[in-house]
Amino acid sequence: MKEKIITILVADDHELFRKGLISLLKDEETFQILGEANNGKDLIYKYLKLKPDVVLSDISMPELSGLEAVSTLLSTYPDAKVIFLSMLSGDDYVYHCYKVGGLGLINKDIPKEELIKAILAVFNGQKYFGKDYSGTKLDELINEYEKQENEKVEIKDVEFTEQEIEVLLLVAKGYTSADIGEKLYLSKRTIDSHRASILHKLKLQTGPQLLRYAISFAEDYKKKNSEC
Amino acid sequence: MIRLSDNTTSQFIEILSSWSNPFLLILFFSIVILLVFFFINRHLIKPLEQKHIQEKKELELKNNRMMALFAELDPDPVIRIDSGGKVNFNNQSASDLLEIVPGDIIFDKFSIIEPQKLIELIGADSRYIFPLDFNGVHYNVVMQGNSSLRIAQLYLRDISVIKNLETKLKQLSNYLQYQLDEERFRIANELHDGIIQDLYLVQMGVRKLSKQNSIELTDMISSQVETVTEELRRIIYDLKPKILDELGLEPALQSLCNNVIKESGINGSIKVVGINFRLSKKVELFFYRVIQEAVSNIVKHSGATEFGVILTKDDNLMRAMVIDNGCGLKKTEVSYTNSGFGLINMKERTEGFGGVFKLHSTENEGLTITAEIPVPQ
Repeated sequence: MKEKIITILVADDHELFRKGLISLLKDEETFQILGEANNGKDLIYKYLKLKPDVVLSDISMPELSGLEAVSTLLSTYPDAKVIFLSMLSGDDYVYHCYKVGGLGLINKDIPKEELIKAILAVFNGQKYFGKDYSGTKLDELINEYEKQENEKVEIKDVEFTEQEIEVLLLVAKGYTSADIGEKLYLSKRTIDSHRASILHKLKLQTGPQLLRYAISFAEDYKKKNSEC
Repeated sequence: MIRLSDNTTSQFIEILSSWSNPFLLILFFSIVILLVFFFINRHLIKPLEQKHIQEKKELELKNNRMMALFAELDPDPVIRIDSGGKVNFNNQSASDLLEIVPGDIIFDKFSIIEPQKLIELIGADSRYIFPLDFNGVHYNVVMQGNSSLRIAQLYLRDISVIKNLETKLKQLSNYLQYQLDEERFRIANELHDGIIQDLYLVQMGVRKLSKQNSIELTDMISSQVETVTEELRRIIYDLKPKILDELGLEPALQSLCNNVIKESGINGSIKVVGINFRLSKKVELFFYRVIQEAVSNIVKHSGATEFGVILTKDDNLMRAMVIDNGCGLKKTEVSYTNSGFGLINMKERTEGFGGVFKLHSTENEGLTITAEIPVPQ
């Protein structure tokens, strides 16, 4: 049975690299290069026009970066299969490429065999983020980042006085005690005692903790008030 | 005949002196009108005119007094000299600051003014501006000639503040140059100590490989090349956070904080609220650099056990806050003039974006740095 031809779109702003990649893939009978793009906007336009099976996209491109372009593309065509290319790699890159919906990330200096492997894997709907990020390792990484990102300060069910709420909201805006005092026509010492009382009620100790809580509190407060 | 003549003469006289003579009437009315004019002029117009002249004189006098008062009250020195260079008038601040009194000869005081030039200046009603240093104070002097009064006025403005800023700017520029050199030196060192040494190893491996072909040797060289590449990547990353360009502000800051936490052991967190889109490259780099500087200060100087980075946007204001629980700044350090260039640099950068930079510190209770800039909605 004849293998299905995999159609490919290559997007990279460096012409030499793009041409090199294309000439590398041209030798393979199972691959057919449908087109090339030299920036993010071009990528979206060419994808809509050519509907390739797999997109190989550089991350750093003018107009729209690879990540932005793919994120836009996937919001309309969630089935688009994209492999990102980058000079740099590492946990941050893997996670953020995964986050926008990319199925793979490969370093620009990988050997041809690995590139072919990656294209085949992604064409078949699997993920490929390099040999260091296979299976469980990838899942663990994603879990860790998601946990960090969704880490929320728990809004405790604490009764605050009206003035304490005002103080918390202003702390969230980056105001110092003196600034808040000026705003509320109170002395700096009064504000400091409000801060101390808030810290005590929340069982918090440090300034960074209070600020973090205040920001989450302000978000929550805004949400609640807009619902009313 | 004579009788007739007599009769005619007396008749003529009678007509001449009677009220029916129009000439007599005209004469009479003319005299009356002239008299009326005379009296109006004498008792109404003349006093009014005199009063007006008086008022005008008083007004001029008042005006002159006001002008003199202005010059007198001017906190900057004002000096009036004649064409011979003799001081006619000077205000209090000129005598206080420049020790000038009326009668002094200006050329003795300020050698920059030449007698011939002064005469030309007065004759041409022109103006001459020059700098002047006196008792360690920098002045900008405007000398204005007045040909109708045959005088010249000197207005001196204290520009020491500007001069000091200029000096500060020069220091800052020197510091930047120094930093640039340091950075070059550091890169050169890293390339020399790391990369070149590693490359020597690779070269030795390749030489060996030319003599004996072995898989182990190939693997070793390959892994050495990988190390060099990794090292180069690290150097490049330090030079320019490519992650900022490629992934955006939040991932770049996250990565920065993770690295700091890993290397310093200080507990830290970062939170970004209300920004889920890419900002302009300039704004992203601004926030990255300010936060990088602030976090590196925390690691180096604060002795903190905890720090937090918060980036928020409400309406058209974007605000970065970096807070720690370290030793804070001493009271004497809180003003920018006494603190390091790092803080000045952050402040300048923020103000360059039309923003506001604030420091809030209580000794031993940590430091909060806030940089806020307007961004388009």
